Amino acid sequence: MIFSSIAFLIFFCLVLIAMTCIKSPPLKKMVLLAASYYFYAYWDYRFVFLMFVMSLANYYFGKKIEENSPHRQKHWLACGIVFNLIILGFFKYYNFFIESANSVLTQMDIKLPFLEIILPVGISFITFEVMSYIIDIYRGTNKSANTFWDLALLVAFFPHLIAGPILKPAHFLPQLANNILIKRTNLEQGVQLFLIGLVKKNLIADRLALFVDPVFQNPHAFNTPTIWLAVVAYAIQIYCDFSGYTDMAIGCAKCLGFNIPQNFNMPYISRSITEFWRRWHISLSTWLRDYLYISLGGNRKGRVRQYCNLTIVMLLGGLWHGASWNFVVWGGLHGTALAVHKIYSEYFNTAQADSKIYSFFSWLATFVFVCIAWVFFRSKDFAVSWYMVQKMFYLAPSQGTAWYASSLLIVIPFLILAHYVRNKMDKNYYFPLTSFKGLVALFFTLLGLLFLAPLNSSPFIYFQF
Amino acid sequence: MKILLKVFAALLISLLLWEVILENCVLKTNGSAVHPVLGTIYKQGYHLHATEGYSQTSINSYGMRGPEIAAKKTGEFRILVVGDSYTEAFQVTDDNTYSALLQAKLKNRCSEITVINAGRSGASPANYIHLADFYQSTINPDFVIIQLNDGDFVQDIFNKANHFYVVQENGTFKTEAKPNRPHRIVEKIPQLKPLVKLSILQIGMEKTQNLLKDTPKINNLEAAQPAFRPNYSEIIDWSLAELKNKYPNSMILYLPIVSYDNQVKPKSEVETWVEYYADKHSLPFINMRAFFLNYYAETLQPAHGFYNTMPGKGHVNEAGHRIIASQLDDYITKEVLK
Repeated sequence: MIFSSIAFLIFFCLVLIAMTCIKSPPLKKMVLLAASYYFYAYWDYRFVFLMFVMSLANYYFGKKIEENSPHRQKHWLACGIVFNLIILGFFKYYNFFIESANSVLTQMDIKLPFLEIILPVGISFITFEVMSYIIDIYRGTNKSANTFWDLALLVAFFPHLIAGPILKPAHFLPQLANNILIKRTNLEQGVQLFLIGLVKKNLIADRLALFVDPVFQNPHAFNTPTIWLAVVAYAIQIYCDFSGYTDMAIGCAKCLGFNIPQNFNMPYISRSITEFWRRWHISLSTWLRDYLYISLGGNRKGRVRQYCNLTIVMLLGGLWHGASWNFVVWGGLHGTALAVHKIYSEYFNTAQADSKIYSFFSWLATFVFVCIAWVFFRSKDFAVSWYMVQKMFYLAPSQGTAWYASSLLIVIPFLILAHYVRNKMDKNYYFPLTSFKGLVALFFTLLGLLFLAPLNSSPFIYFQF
Repeated sequence: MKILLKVFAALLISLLLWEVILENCVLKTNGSAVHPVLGTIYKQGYHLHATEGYSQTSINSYGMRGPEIAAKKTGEFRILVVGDSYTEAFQVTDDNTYSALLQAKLKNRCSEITVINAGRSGASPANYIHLADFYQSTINPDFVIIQLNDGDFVQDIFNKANHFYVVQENGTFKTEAKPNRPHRIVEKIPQLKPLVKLSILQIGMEKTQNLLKDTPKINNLEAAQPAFRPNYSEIIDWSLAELKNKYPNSMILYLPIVSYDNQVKPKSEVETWVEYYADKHSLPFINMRAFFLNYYAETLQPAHGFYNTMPGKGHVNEAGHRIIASQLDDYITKEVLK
């Protein structure tokens, strides 16, 4: 069930009605949990059990960490982390490692068997969420959930279940202590956030997918300018797809009375790669910083170690996205760029940083680097990525069909409008939906989605992670 | 009551705004009209098409693209082009259809030549056979170009949803025409007729149906193979024999599906049979495959597709129309006007 489907609209209306009609706070939570499990089961009911077991086990680990002495706490934390990583590793990385191992072992006539494993949707997000739950308890920054059902709801809460944002238990669990109330102001804000997300997804990302997909599928057929355009289009597509999903998630949660933190903050205006990671997928970069980078020593063990840590964190961050060497390369590129930027800002004079020319070139260099890295993220394999990068820089024959897709031009006004409106929303400016102006905006947007959305909607890119 | 009025007014304003946007940027037709012989056709007037390529054009009283057809002058040489959406060519501007380009080329040699574009979306040989007498009496062509493609035989010729189609009875084929009826809803409530030409209604209906169907739109012919698969050899043999009989002074222009990224892909069954039976019935035949592929080999630009859809897929683009017009010009100059 995806947010942009009729099925979800019906499901969500029923949840809202149920939440309005039910008076008992514990029952409301149970109904919300049941709805979240149903939402997940709509994709594949078998994995609801897996999610339930992960919640139960981590609730147990959390309790044990809280109850035991510091020495034993460490053991329980290690148990919890190993348990979660085994699940993630089995479902997501088993065949990847077997394939990689086989490429070495074939020389010794050994071939390890592959397994037919279905990747549970959102497993990476779920794993990171439960891991942050037990690590926070270990560090003493958060207490264990009041009841198992609270943790189960944190993990399964349907607005963020499939593709984040990764919720911090310390942020979400206290909200569960309050009664879930459906308020008109929340509904108005939630609906508008949801619609802006839908516009980003259906009018921008899906429209660009019609250009991006064929070019990435067969880059040999297109010329160099077309490849560049497709790469830029993909940068916009993935941003609108993912931030659109996040806006919809935040909007749904808002309707139900929950606040989910922002996950994007105009990443493509960044003037350095460090700034980019403060603006892109904020919940993931915060998670990686808090639970991986700091655990590795962060910047406390000297400069060289800090640069290594940055690279390791981003390599693993890349691998988190998917079991493919392409993601590792993507992560490695970002890790290296972060380290290089760190060295640059430490050793070189950046006094000119405020000048407009410096700002422009910093922005351009960052944007071009991010776009090139997206090539590795999007392409089906390393050979294709490498070929595309070569072609972009005229290191491979640049001939091919020219396709100056008008979709790229068409989406620009939508992109500007969506950003403008989203910024207004961040400043807490919403239309009252019962006002005439609000109703015109609502109907205009809904009709726009009906008239202009492409016929075949693409699945959300981040669902695969 | 007040809130209901507010909702209604807001909805109306939004619809009006979208009507202005859509009819200027996406699609604008003047609705449809029922012609006693031609069936349901585009109503005369302005037409804008921007969903694949782009054109602003006018429709004449026969529902054809272009100006009204005047009475034939003495000494005038008339070429009628019948075909489907590839000939109608709403994807390119008026001056860039192969019919218009052909007329421009031929006018250089003989000023009394008129090329009439009778292309009609969804048309098939059933249309051309059934309407031969009508074309003869109203247009009186001296030469006819019959444009065919795979879709004619795979999708359209037996499709009873079309106004003209072919049925098979007792081992023989014949064309049928559906009785003329306006749209079901319009028939019941004629007052709604002016609404039919609204762009918001035309696009909205299509999108809503698609949304509710929840099935992807079929965009290629291979996926659109009907459950009933005709014997292509028989129907093509019959169609070409009938076309030769109805239009003795004519030729076949074949526009194949070209896989630019897989040029070794063999010709389709329909293409092979059309080639074979055109020869058998002594119908002059031009297959554009080799010309399209040559152009692609030289320029790496396909003759199909547009920047707002995808190069290589869909209808013929400006370059494709230029290539077709050039081939037709060669043939007509050498063989017809000699």
